[in-house]
Amino acid sequence: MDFSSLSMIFKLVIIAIIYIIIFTALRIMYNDMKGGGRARTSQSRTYGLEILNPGSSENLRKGAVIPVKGIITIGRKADNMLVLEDPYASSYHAKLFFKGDEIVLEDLESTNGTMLNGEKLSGKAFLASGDEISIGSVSFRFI
Amino acid sequence: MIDITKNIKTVLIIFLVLFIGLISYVTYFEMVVGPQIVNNVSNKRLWVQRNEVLRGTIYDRDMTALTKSKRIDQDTQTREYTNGPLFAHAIGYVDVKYGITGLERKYDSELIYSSIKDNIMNFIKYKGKLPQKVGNSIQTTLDYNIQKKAYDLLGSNKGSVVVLNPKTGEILAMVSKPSFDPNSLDENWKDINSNAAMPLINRATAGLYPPGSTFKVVTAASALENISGIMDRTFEDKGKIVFNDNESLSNYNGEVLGTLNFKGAFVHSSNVFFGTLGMELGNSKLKKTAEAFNFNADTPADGVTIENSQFPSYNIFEKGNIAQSAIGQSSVLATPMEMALVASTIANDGVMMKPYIVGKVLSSSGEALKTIEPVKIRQVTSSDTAATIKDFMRAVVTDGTGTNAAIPGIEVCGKTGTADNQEGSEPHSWFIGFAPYDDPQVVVAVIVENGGQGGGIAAKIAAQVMKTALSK
Amino acid sequence: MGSDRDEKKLLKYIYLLCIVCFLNLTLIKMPIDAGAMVMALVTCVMIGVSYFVIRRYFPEGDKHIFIFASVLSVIGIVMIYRLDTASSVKQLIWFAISVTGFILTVVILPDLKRFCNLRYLFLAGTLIFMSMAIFIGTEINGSKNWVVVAGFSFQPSEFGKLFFVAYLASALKEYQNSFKELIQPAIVVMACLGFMVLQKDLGSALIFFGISITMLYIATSKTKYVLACIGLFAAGATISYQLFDHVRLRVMIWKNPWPYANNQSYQVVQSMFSIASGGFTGTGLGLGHPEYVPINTSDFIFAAICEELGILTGFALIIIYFLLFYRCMRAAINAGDNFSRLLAVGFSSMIASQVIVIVGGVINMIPLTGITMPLVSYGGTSMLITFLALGVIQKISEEGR
Repeated sequence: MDFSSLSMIFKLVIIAIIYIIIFTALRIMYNDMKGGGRARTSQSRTYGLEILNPGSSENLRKGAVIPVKGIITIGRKADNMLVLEDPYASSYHAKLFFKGDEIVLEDLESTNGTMLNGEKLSGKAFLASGDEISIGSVSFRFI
Repeated sequence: MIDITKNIKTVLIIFLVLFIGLISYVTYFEMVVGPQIVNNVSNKRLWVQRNEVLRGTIYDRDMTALTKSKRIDQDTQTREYTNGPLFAHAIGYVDVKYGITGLERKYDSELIYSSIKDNIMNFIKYKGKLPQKVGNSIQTTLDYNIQKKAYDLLGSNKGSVVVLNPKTGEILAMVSKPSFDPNSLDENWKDINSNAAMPLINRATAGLYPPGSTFKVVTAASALENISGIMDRTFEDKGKIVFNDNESLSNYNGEVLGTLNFKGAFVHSSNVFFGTLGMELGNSKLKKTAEAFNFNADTPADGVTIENSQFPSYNIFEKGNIAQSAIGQSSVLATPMEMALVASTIANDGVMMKPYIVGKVLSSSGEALKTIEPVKIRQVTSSDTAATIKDFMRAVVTDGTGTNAAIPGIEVCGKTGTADNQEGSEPHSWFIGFAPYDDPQVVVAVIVENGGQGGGIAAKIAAQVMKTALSK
Repeated sequence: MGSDRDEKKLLKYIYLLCIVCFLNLTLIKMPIDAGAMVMALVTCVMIGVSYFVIRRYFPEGDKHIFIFASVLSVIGIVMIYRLDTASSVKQLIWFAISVTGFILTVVILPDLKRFCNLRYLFLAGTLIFMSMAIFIGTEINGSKNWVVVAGFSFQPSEFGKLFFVAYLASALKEYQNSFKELIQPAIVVMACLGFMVLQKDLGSALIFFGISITMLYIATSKTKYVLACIGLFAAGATISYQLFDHVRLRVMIWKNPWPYANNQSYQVVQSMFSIASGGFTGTGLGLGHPEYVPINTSDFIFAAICEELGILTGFALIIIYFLLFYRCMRAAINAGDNFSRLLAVGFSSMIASQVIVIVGGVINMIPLTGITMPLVSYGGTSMLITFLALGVIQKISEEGR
């Protein structure tokens, strides 16, 4: 039997499937936009850097918690957000930023390096609660 | 950084607009341009579709087959025109290389359409093994006998014969010569196209000629409707009107007809009388009457396309031209079909019927799917005017220039025309007429190119054609 | 999560599309063509595996780019199978190669910032590839932009496109409002356009133009530069119209193709008949006559698809291309630095311009040019380059957010 006339039904099915794919994708994108927006504005988690050892920086006090709400640049130069007066700290030493819901610590190719939990950090790493960060003689705990 | 984001969004919107424009154009293309181009000759798909079904047969009014289609293999079929050049112009031809013309073209979709009902019936009858699908047939209004008679009578002359039924508009015959054989297009195409006589043209509907004195029917109608007392008027025909040093108008051979009344002038075809009438009517009134007869306008028709006949506009001072136009010369041009319609209007009490060439569309099993009914175009002149002119036209054949059109036992009416055309060549011989006088059944228009006087060869051909038509 | 479920559904729909299309192709031949179902299976497996690899190892990146690219490729493979089964198998192999290239790009390519200073390398690459065909090229199908090496032919201008975008991205990223900085890129752009016109590849010239003004606008946000460019382009177009026959020919058959329907404008006329015969839902696979359209597997694949699957599918393709473009631009918005942004924008506009030029040409909205439809048309290099470009964009989308 000659099935070729079935193509007339198939074509409608094929067109339908293609459009369903388009609409499903659109729905996902729409949901993402809605969901993403909400997640950004009402964060359930707030992050902070607790100062464990202020080192030779006079502007830091032990126990103080610096809230991490966006990007935090750390270094000796005055235009950093968190200024360290430590001789072992580079001008632009490190950076903390959001990636999705998590915080990433990035070493900006500092001279003496950044220590994360005792190990020298190369490049970037996600921070987990309780991580200890050391720059020169200054140390923080990430909470 | 923010600026760039804004730019990106702008670019996004610009591309969105471009894409929407693209979608719109595609839609426009499909809905508007598509249907216009799908029937183009270069589109092979149409030929494949045409080939799927065995093309339907074209019949004359008595169901004599005029075409025969035969399938050779799955991809080809042949079409034979049983009478060769006889119906070449009316039916046309269909050929992959040379295109599709005439009725084959106008009714193409019917001829390749195989009705669903037929298909289902066949499917049931032959239990799933579908036999050859056959397209619908068309029964034309053409009469084989009349067409053949007219064709033979024209002989080796160039010209045309149109035969109509005045009451319905049916086209009983439509002959154009020289003709060509649609069965041998391949072999003869070059010759056909290089022939100076242009055999491909359907002279009946596309040949534009000066109608000569046959146009006096129109002028007479115009006079009857615009000039009171015209029937009682007498006139001195001195054989010639002189306008100025360069222009004059004279009767055929300069014949002096003496004292005439309106009927006499018509019967003896006095150019002087009618030229004077033309000047008296003036260009606009005469043009108005001509346009009522469908000059300068598209003529509605089914199955044929008729070229527009032309009646010119002149200024008041162009007396010579105005006079000439009243006798169907100057720039007046008419197709044989138009003049046939003029005669049929008079025969039908002043009502012009729409000419049509197809009577019925039949399914491949013979069932009538569509019947075409006669349609009135308009009431061109009052029935009184028509009756008067009908009387004149009877007298033309009994006593006047058209005696060669007489048939013993039948009362024939008509009007001759001897149309001057090019300097130095014989005039065209025209005859338009109808019979019988009491209740006209058939209308004829004949033109023999360069055939001399209308009362000569054209009248004789018309007589024989009408005799054949009425002998049924 | 709701959208997770939707994503799985999306993948399932693609499998369904693949299977239904090939099922259709199986049934239209007598006897039944089982090869089609094999193709369906292989395609589904390839898409599934690739998707899995991408989602598992790179969950941060854009989820939709690969999906849209696969849908387009599937439609392409299906249609090519309908037209010529051998080409379809080759296309499937190229799809495999291209997707691998895509994944490798995302995996192996180091942080894109490293590349941002290789401006002169990109410049060299651009000029070499773009002009290569002029010196060692052969003419195929009327355009002299192919290079044949050991029986294998490719278009160097395709590779040139990648270098071109990279060069413009690196040249424009530092733009600080001074006109002088634009001079070098402007010369390069004009040179490339010139090369394309000389090679009679007018379609690529249009695409390069599209990429250039998009990137120019993004980098400078000065509308007057854009207008100036459009003016220059118009001037250039007029000059090349006067100078070159082949340009005049294209314009002549664009304005009125009908008198030359059997000669010069044969291709575009057949394409128009094909699309006009399809209607909104098409004739159905196997029931139309796309075989009357020349080059129907590559340049005119859109016409073949419109004939058999209808204008509605044509719209769907255009919509999917736009959605792909949107996702790529979104990756650009979220990117970290200007170089990445410009790179993403450049590649996106490369794909988008190509779509506009070829669809426009095929329906005679703009003069016809010989380029392919990205991902859908038969053509290994074209698909590979497109996937590589998408790979870079995917990588950028991962770095961002």
